[in-house]
Amino acid sequence: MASAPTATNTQEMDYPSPWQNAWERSKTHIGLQIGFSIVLLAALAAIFAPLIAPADPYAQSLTSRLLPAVWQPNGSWDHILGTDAYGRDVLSRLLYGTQVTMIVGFGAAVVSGIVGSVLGILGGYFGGKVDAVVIFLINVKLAMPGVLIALSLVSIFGGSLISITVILALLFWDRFAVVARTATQQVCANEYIAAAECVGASRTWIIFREILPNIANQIIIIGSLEMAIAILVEAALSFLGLGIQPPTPSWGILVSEARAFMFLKPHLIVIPGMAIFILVIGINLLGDGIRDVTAPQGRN
Amino acid sequence: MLKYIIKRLAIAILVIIAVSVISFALLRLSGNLAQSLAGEGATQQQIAEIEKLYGLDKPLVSQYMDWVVKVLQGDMGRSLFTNEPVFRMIVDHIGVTAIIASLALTLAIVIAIPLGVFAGVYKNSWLDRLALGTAVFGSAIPNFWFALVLIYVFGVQLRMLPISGNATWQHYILPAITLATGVMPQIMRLTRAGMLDTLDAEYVKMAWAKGLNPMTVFFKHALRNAILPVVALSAVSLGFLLGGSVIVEAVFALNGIGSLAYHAIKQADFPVVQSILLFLSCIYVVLTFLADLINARLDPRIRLR
Repeated sequence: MASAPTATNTQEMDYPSPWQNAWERSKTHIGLQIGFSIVLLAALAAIFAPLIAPADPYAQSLTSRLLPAVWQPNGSWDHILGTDAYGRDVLSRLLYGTQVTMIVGFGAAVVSGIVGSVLGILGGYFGGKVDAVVIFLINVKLAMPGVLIALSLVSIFGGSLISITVILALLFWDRFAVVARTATQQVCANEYIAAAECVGASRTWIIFREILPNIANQIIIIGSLEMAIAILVEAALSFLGLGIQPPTPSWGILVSEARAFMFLKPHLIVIPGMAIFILVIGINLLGDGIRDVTAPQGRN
Repeated sequence: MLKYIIKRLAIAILVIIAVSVISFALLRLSGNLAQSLAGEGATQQQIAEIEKLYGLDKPLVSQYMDWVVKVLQGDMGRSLFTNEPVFRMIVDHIGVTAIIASLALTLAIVIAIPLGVFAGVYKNSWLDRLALGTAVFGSAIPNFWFALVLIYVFGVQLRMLPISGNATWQHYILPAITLATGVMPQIMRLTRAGMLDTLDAEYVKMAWAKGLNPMTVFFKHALRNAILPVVALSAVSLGFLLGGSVIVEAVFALNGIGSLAYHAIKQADFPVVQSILLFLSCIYVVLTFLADLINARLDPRIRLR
């Protein structure tokens, strides 16, 4: 008899872990599933582009310029999405463009995430003068016209993958800093931080083992949103001619190269534009979905 | 209130100083300017003359100080290519950008605020879903591409609107729509979130209890308190639009400050570029300062912080 209440007690204590909760919720979260599928598809396309692309994305052919896509009159399966003004296979350029987009978008989000989070955590944890400096840096960053700064930096440092990634990272660190700072302040108000300080934990230990794990979730969510914006800005810079340089197939370059033929061959503009649009929606859905399923209150 | 204003003003001035240092340094990174100005095959003596002419032979700090002193006197220097005064160039080009930016912001606000209010009031209804769908659409669509689609549909297929230049007021419609699409989602989301907060507040329940008309409750009681962050965001957005219109100006062949900056950047015309960067930052700082003042005026709690 005495063992019965104990059994009930242990059962009540046996809560699912946060990860189990998130996993259960994500099974019914359609937005998350759609977003995850789109991002996964883009990642696979980027990784396996050399294997699945039907042709060399740089191979020009004077005899097969501006061929129609397969669903258009005279289209053929040799060039499923047709060819561009230099006779290059559009599908292959689109697939290789996924590489550029994913590398720049992901790279910019990671680099700006590290820079912004470090500044935000320092400001939030140390407060006082350190915090004042961080806030000042954020204010300066916000006051500068970002796109024009990026254009100037590209004209100085060139349009390689690495320089574009770093330049975009310079544009996007501020939101990480704002969120990390607020989140750190909230975490620092908890008693386990005071407890860790009492037992003599070092500042490094507190920052990396107590604060970081508790704000990582929010940083990852901002990361997904910033990756989406970085992809849009990279495409826009490349479209303007001060981003990734031709003949590298960035999606922005695909649109800008097709612009001269937009009235004759609208599909050359529609396809890369839709690719950017769908990927950005996918990343946003994924980010929003992660936020929903990991939110403590379990809201929808 | 005065203390608050002085504090904000001091920060604003520090920010502008930092921005001026950055925009000055940025353009000095671009390698040997005198050599590129002198052109290929210039002799050492010609390069030295050009360095002297533009003051490039002085130490960086004194170059910076010279520039700041001149800017404070209203002299932003001259373009390296057309020899026009930079101040004149900015004045000539800012009008077009100001018109499309303010049109875009007005359009975004007119759509976003009612949409956000009703999305918040009828949470999880079809209207709410429509509003969130519009927001997802607006923030995911690449603006240069959306501009091309608008040109194709309204300019070429329907032949309703002009697609390039700024000869008539109709020329501003498509650029304004393109820019508005980008800022509308944030304003809508913020209004909706603010409404969700204020609709739960005691004074709104009180307003209902008094038997007020729903529209009075939504717009006069709830929205008034929800709109504070929206005011700040609108000011930030206007500053962003002035600096971010370069893409739209390029697509619609508008000769605003964005395309002026773009061409100056391409030619490494550094007096023009650094002055535009400084000018746009100053506008942004002034706008956010004004937004802070308006907020402090609307919400007495802010003044006491």
